[in-house]
Amino acid sequence: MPIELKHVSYTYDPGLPTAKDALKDVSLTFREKEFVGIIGHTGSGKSTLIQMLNGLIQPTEGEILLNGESYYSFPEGMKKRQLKKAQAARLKSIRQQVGLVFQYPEHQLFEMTVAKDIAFGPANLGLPEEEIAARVDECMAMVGLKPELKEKSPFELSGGQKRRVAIAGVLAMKPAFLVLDEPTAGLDPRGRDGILGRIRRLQEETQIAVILVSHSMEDVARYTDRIIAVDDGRIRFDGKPREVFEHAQELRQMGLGIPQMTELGFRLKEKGLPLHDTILSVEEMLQALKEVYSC
Amino acid sequence: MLRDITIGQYYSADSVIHRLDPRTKLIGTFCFIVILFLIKGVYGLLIAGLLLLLIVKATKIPLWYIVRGQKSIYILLMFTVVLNMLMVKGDVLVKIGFITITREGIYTAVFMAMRLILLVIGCSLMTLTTTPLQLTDGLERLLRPLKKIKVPVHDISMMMSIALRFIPILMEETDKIMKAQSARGADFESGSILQRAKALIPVLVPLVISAFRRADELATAMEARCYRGDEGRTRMKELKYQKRDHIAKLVILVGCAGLYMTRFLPSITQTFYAITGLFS
Repeated sequence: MPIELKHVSYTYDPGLPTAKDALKDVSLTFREKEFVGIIGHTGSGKSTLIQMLNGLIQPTEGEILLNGESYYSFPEGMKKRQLKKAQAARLKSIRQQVGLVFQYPEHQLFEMTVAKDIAFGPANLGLPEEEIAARVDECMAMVGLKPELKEKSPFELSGGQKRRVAIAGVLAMKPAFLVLDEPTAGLDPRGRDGILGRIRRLQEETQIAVILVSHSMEDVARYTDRIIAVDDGRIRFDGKPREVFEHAQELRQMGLGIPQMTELGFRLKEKGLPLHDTILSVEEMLQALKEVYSC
Repeated sequence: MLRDITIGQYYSADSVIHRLDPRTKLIGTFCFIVILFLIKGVYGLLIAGLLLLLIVKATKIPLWYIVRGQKSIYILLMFTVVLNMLMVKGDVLVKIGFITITREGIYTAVFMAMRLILLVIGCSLMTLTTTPLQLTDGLERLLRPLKKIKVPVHDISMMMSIALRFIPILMEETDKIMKAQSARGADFESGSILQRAKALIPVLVPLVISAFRRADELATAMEARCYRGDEGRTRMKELKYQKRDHIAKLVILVGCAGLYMTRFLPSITQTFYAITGLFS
C-alpha cells in the first residue's frame, strides 16, 4: 500500500506578489514498513510535502495516489453532490491511513482528560465505544504513558508527556503511515531519545511505515533506513543514509550538514587513516577505529 | 480557507499612496467617510466611486484582490439590500403575496449598497496601504491633543497596534490548528449548524490557550526591553509631512468639496422615475 507522488507541484498564493513555488515536479514513492527521514532547511518545501500526503493540501499540478487510488480524481460523470460526498469520504479514509503529527502537536490538545483527547481521532472515525477505549489504552502504552495519567487534564502534564499524548492521538487512528514533523523540536536530549526510540520500536513491532521530518542529521542517520533531501522544492537526494551522507559538500550547500561522526570520519580519511566506509554513529566509529588499530 | 480574508491586512507595494504620511491617509479616509454620508444622490456616489477607483489604480493593488477580501461584507450587503427593498414604502411596482417592492425601495437599496461598498473599500484601502505600525503612529500623533484631557492616547494606540499585529498571527494559528484537527478526522464542512459549531471547540480551545501564551510572552519581551509606556519614549522614525502630503491634502479638500457639490445636481430620482415609469 504505497503512497505515490507523480510530478507534483504546489504554488502558494498563485497570481499574487507573494506567490511562491513550494514544490516543483516532485515524483516519489513511500513504501510500506519503511522508516524514511526527510531533511531540508526551513522553507525547502518539506512541510508542504507532508501535508500533501495527508490530503490537507491539494497539489496545484500532478497526482498523488494511495494504494493506487488517486486522492482527488474520480470517475467522470459524477454529479456535483456525489462528487463532494465521495471526496469527503476519500479524504477521511486517507487521513485514517496516513496519520500526520504536526510540529508542536501538544498545541492541538483541547479535551478535559488525556483519554478523551486521544479518543478524538477514533471517535471521528465513528468507531464503537469499546473499541475506542481499547485503542486509548493500547496507544498510551505504545508511547510510554502510564495508565494513571488517563483521567488527568492534558494541560497539567509536562512538555514531553503532552507531546506523547498528541502522538498517541494520531496513533489511535491506526494509520499505515505515520508522518511526524519534527517530533523532538524543543525537547531535551532525554525526551528526544525517548520519543524517537519509542517510534523506532513501534515501527519494528507493528510494521507501521514512519516518515520523519527532522533537522537533526544524527537522528535521521541513527533511526531511518532511507533519507530524502529536499531543497528549493525539489528532491535532491533519495537513498540509504550512508549513500546520502557521502554528498557532504552538496548537503552543506543546501544549508544542511552531515552527522558529526561522518564529518570526523571524512577528516580522518583526509589525514590518511584507512577508513573504508562512511561512518554514521559513535558505535560505528569505534568499530572502525578498532579495526584500523586491530585491537 | 482563511487566506482570503484581507480586512486589516497590509498589501506591500511601492506606490505614492503607500508612501504618503499615515496622518494624511487617516484624514483622507475620515473625510471620505463623512462625505459619503453627506452625498444625497446616486450620481454623487458614482462620482465618488470613480474617484476611489482612481486611487485604487494609484495604489498598484489589483482590484480583484480588494474585492475578494470583502467577501464577508457581502452577507451584510445582501441583508441591507433585501430589507430596504421590502421595507421602504412608496409607489408599488411588484406585489407577490405579502412581498411588495416599491420604487423608493429599489432606489434606497441601490443607494445603500453603493454607500456600503464604497465605505468598506475606502477604509480597507487605508489598511492595505499602511502598515499597522505606521497606522497607529499616525493615530497617536493625530490624537495627541486629547492627552491634555487625560485620554491615554499612547496606551490606546499601542493596544491597537498589538491587536492589528496579532490578526495575521492568530489567523495562521487557526489555520494550523484546523489542519491538525482535520488530520485527526475532524470535519468542519458538513453537518447541521449545531454540529458545525460543536466542531469548532477543538479549534477554539487551543486557539485561546495559544493567544494567552503569546500575550504572556509578548508582555515579558516588552518588559525585557524596558517598555514603560509613553513617558520619555522617543521614536526612531518621526513622522514628517512631505511635499506629496501637502498635495494629497489639497486633493482631498478639492475632492470633498466637489463631492459635496453633487448635492446640488439634479436629483437622480427624477431620471429613475422616468426609467421605471416606462415599465409600469
